Amino acid sequence: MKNKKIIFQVTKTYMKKNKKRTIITFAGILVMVVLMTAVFIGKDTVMDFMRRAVEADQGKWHYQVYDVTGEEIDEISKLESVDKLEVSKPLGYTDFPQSVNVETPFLELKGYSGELFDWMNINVISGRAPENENEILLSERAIKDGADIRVGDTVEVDAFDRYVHAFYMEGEEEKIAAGKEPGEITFGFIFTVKHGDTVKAPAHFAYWPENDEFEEIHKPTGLKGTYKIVGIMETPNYEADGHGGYTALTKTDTSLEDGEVANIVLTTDLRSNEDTEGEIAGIIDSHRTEAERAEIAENGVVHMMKDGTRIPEENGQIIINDMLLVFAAKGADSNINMLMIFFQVFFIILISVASLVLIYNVFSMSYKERSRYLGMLSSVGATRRQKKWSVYYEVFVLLAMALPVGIILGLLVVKGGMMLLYPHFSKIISSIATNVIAGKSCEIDYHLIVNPINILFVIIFSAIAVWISAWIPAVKISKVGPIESIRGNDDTGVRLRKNGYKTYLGLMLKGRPERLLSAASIGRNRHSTRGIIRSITVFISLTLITAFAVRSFTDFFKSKTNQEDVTVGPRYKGYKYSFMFDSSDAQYYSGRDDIVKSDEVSDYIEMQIELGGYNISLSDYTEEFRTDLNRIIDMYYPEEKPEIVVENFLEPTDIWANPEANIITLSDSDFTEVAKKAGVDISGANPVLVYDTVILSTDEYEFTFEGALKPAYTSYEVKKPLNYKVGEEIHMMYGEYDVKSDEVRKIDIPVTFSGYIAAKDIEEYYSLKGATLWLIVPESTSEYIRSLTPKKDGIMGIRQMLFNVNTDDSRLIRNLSQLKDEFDNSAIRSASLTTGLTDFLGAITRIVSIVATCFTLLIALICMLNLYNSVMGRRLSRYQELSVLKSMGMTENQKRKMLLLENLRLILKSIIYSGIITGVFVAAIRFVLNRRFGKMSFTLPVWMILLTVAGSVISLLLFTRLCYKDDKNITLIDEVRTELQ
Amino acid sequence: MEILRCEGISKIYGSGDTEIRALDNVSFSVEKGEFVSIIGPSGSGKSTLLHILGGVDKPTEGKVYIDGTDIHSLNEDKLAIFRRRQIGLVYQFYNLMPVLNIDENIALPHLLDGRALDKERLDSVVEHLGLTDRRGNLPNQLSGGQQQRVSIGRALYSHPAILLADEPTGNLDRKTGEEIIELLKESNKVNKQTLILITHDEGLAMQADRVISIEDGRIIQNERVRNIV
Repeated sequence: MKNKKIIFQVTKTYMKKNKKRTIITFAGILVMVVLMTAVFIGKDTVMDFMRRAVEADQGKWHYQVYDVTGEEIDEISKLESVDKLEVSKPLGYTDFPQSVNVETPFLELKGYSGELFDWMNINVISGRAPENENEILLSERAIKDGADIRVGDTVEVDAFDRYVHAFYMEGEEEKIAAGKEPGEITFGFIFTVKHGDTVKAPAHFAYWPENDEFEEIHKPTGLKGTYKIVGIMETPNYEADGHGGYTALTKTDTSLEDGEVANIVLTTDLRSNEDTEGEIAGIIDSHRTEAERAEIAENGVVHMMKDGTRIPEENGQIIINDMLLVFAAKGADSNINMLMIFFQVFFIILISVASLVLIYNVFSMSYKERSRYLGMLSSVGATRRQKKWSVYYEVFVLLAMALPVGIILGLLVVKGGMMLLYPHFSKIISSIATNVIAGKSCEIDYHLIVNPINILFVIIFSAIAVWISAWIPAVKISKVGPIESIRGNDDTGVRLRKNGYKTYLGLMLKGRPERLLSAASIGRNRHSTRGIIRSITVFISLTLITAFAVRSFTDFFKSKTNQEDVTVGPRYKGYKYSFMFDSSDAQYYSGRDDIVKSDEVSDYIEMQIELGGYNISLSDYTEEFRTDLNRIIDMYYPEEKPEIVVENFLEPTDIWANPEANIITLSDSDFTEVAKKAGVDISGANPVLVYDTVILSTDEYEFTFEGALKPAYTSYEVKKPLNYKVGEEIHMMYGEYDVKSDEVRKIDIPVTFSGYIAAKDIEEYYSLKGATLWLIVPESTSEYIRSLTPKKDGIMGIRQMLFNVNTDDSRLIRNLSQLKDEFDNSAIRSASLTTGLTDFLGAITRIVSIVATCFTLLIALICMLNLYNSVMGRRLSRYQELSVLKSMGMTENQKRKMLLLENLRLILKSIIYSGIITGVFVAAIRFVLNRRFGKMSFTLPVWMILLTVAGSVISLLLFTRLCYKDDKNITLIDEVRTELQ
Repeated sequence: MEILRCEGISKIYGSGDTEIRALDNVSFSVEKGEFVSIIGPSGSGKSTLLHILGGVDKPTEGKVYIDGTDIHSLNEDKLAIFRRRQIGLVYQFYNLMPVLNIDENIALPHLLDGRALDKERLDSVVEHLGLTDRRGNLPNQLSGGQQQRVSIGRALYSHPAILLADEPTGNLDRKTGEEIIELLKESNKVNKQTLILITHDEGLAMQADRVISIEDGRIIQNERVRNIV
């Protein structure tokens, strides 16, 4: 170190002398450190915030496992990856005579052990939590419903399990005797009982008034006693208004009696890499009898362990709090974890590249000056190593100064960013956290998560980036010898050719000196233009690559997210009332007529979305669609597809097994407007527009038949999926079930395929996605379809009139409010409840866009510093050249024209280079994403390209103006007397 | 006929204790087609005088008339135009544009004046300078003598009324220096261009029609050597 001291001393003097250049290098390194800090700390802060938001909604648990025995609990608790384990015992129901809500006549008793009250977000609002098995914490819903009970009261418990027995219907026993399957009753889509069966009701089962089809049977569990209400809790998020029992929690321990089964809830060690789900499934499977295994093989799924072992798993027995684990970077869906890491790495590379180019440019431009003093030092004995260290010394001194400032600024950037993003985060939370929607007391604030390891990473990555960027200049400078110092460096950067350059004769004959000079300057002196081209190229490339990556991320997210397949557009917003009646066409159309004809209605619009119900033969789909469908199925069944899958999905024989189609009905005028926007002719009979994109994904086609694997998320985007030509007839099919004959009659519905429409054509009305084909029809075609399917009543989907009234006391609203469906829901509702689907994707997209924009802007700042430095460097290197031109009689106008032409050439070159670089990167990202996630379409960010190019042009012109503005005061005499290099 | 006249030119650098008077009340005139040498020791102010005459530097006091125009009363652009039409500067260090080849460097002042290239004239100038086989080369590929020829070629091609040469042979060997002086003299005689040559070589100075000696910024001798032909 001692022998480097003089070098360091000289370098320090040099840095002080060249303050402007030193400040620019420092600023570049500082911005890099700020960005690095923002990436590392920002990621952890956001993840922590989201994790706490999910905890507030879903709870702090990681896994729930249903119906496990004491022996299994013992084994699971011993797993290496399991951190803590608690037990939730379903203790059955008991009559609750204090209830005044006829739909909730019971208490649903549960025993929670240890920390489970906390893990499940049980929030005591009065009294306290139970401390023994004779105390109860009661749901606030009971109090809100008006139950005559308070803290300190007692409840007599005589617990029972609820069973449903479905009676045989008339003639059904004969039907069974004839070998046919009995009919069944479905309760709320989730619970089905075949006639003649008695089945235990699932947890949280609603109260259904008995009728001649079924009865509810209560079987005592043996649990009896007097329980004291010790507290009231906020209604747990798993308890909904329709549940038959109010939740009543009591304290229990983790021990189970022989033969008893309970549910367990556990947290895992997030540092562990074990496959917890697979291990739990393995333990449960090891306790199964052969008969149970055979049943699971038929109805369950298969969990594939890392080593390829296939473990059968009962569907829904193991529940993962995936959102929570995702935000702790341990999600079951490795794609999201991978994307998080990908973006972190992506941004670090981006920042490093921008900083690297800046530092490299600074050293490259100052090479000439440095070579003088280093050559001089060389002549007095400085070694190569010593000269190399002069460069390292400079950057590391600057880095040492930039690190503390940069880290503090980085933290402030994260803090500011979080403040900026908070409204969007809140929006996301409101869409995922039912607790928050319900106005529950879960304050979620953000905290800066400053992990020392991350700070260490910032230091290490910054040091690496700085070292890499200084390495080439250091090596180059270390080679400077005493001769260069004495003679002066003759590296003018002008590219010499043995036979010289062809004269720009054409320009000379036309008398174009500015074009001649600009062409020669850019074409023959690459050295002084290299920095500028590099800066613009890096700016354009990084901005566009970021824009493309962000676009790909949001596209991927769009297809991956469980967001609704349809989101309403601006045309349906701004209405106060909604009228709907799904179960009866007659009732709906009568109310619709009332609205249309009413004087009280100021404006209205109809929304009609029919989900499924109609089918289009698989053979009418393109080969591409069928191939991609086959690929999805192959992922679930890499070896042999079960017959049921082939029959229902690949070679469908009955109508309903063919792919379904969703139908959106627009008014005739709106339909015409959409068709016009898409440039489609709708003159045929019963015209139909087809949405041009279908996304087949492993999420949309989920197979749970025997032998199904759980594949990684993959999606295939199919464009123009139908085999029809414009103007041809699409043969939609409707399967009409005849109860008497127990057969399905096929109704052919021929409509005219008018053409495809894209997302932008219908964005005013809807945003669509999904694996099901979307057909857009006018009201006339809709009426035609209804006329062919007269027996079809009601709608599966959304059918509503959205409207506003011009009076506070509307007779129409009063009349329509009296209409109620079979679930006692009023036909008139608030439009905001029905159309205000929280735009989860929109919020996520905005967050990603804001984050990306902030990063791009900061990276752009580095690039701009770089560009300014390069323009200034070039300006300084041509001081004499410009003086000579001036002495020869070049006017200011001529100089301005020459500079403008030079800039245009530089921009053009930069655009070509960045086009190539961006093209290669985009192709690579596209290739990797398509290979990993299936087949995605990529949209070109045209506006971003135009804005970036415009930004580059403006910046270059501005910097040129700034850097050359002092030329009027150029002292010719000082410059022309010096030798032009 | 008088083409250039300077009246009471002074040039002061710095102020107060650090004030340096580079030129002190210099006055003289030059006839059209005359060859004038300005000699003097280093630091005598001869180069400063030449730059003031060429309009690339401004005097602190005094006036310079070229063809009756007070050149320092012109604005920047008019002076630039005046310079490219009337003045040809030949420097010791050539001052060629490094990115332009020989042809382009020679034609540049002419092109800057908004005139199109006269190819035949360019060919003849290049041939006359003996640079025909190097005309595509950039200055960095040429020897000092060749670069100075190009510099003179600029003056020959654009044909300014006055040629100002500042130590044009100072950086060259004796033989090449003589060749360069011959070219300048030829330009003076054949093209009738007024030539003002700065040198500290007395022998070279004596080849002029008139010799002006400067010392400490003052003219100490202004002597006609021979009559203008």
